[in-house]
Amino acid sequence: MNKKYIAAASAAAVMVSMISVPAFAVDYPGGSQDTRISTAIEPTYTVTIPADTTVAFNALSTDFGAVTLESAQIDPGKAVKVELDASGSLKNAADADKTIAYTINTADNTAFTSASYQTAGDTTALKIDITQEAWDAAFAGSYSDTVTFTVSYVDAE
Amino acid sequence: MPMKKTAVLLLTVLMMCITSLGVYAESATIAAQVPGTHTVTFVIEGGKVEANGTPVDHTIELDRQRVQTYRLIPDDGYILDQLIYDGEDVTEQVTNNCFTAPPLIRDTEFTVIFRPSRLPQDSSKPFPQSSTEQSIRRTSTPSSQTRDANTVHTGDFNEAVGYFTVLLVLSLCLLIVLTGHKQEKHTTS
Repeated sequence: MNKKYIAAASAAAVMVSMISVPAFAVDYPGGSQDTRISTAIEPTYTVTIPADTTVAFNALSTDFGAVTLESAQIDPGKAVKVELDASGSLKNAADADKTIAYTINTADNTAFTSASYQTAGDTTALKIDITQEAWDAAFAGSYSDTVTFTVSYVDAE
Repeated sequence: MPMKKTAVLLLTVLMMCITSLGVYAESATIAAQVPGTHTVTFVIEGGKVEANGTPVDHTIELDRQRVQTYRLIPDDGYILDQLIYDGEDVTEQVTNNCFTAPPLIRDTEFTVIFRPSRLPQDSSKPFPQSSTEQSIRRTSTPSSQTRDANTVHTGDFNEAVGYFTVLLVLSLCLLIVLTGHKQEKHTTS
C-alpha cells in the first residue's frame, strides 16, 4: 500500500514539473511598430476653509479667515468650486427666536456665496459683519450658528 | 438567481454614484456672547445722584436693556448745570430733578454738574463788578470764590486809604490857612 502511494506521488511530481506555460512569438514583417503607452493621473487638490470663530460683543466686523486652494493638480478646463451655506442669523442658545443677524463678506464687502479656484494659492479672505443696530437690539445670552462649505470639482466657467 | 443579479446590479450602480460625486463638505461655527449687565460710571460735581432711592457710588451694575430713572440732588445752594449721558447732553430731559435713561445697551458714563444758584456777596467791593469779572466768577468752583478779606485787589476801596485821603486834604487846608495867615501878618506889619 505504501509503495502505491509513493508511486502516485512521484508520478504527480513528474507531471507538475512538465507543465510549461506556452509562449507565443509574434512575427513582424519588418520595419517599426508603434506602441501606445497610456496612463491616468487622478486630479488632487487641497482646500482650507475658515475655522470656528467667536465674534466679540459690539464688533462690527470680525476676521473669518479665508478659503484657499492650497495645492492643486486638476485637469485643464476644470476648477475647484467652494460654496457657502449660511443662515445669516446667530441663534440664542436659550431661545432660538432671539437672533442676531450677520453677513459673511469678502474684503470688498461683497456677500460671499461661492468661488471657483484653478491655481494653487488662490484665496478669498472672509469677514463676519454685524450692524450696530443688530447688537443694540440683541438680548443677553450666548449665540451661535453653523455654516457649511461645500467643495466640488466642476467645469471651469 | 434573479435576486442575486439584481443585488449585484444595484451595488454596481451605487459604487458608480459614489465615485462620480467627488463633493466634500465641512462646517465652521460662529459664536457670540451678549453680556447680561452693563456698568454705569458716575462723575458728579456739587451734589449727588440716587438710583432707586439709594445714592450711587462711582459705578453701578445694571441689567442689559434696563430703563433706569435717576434722581439728581444738588448740594445746598446749588442747582443743576449740565447732565451728559452716554456722551450726549440730556440736560433738557431732566424734569423735577429726575432723569429717565434709555434702555441700557452698553457701558455708559453719567456726568452731572451742579453750580451755585447765587454768587457770594463781597462787602469790600461797593463798585459795580464788570461783566467779565462776573463771568469768571460764575465758572470758578465754590472753594475758589472764598476770598481773604485782608487781601487787597485791583479796584478794591480800602478804608485806610479813605482815612489817609481825608487827613491829607485836611493837612493841605491847614497849610493854606496858615500860609494865608502869615501873609496877612506881613502885610499888616
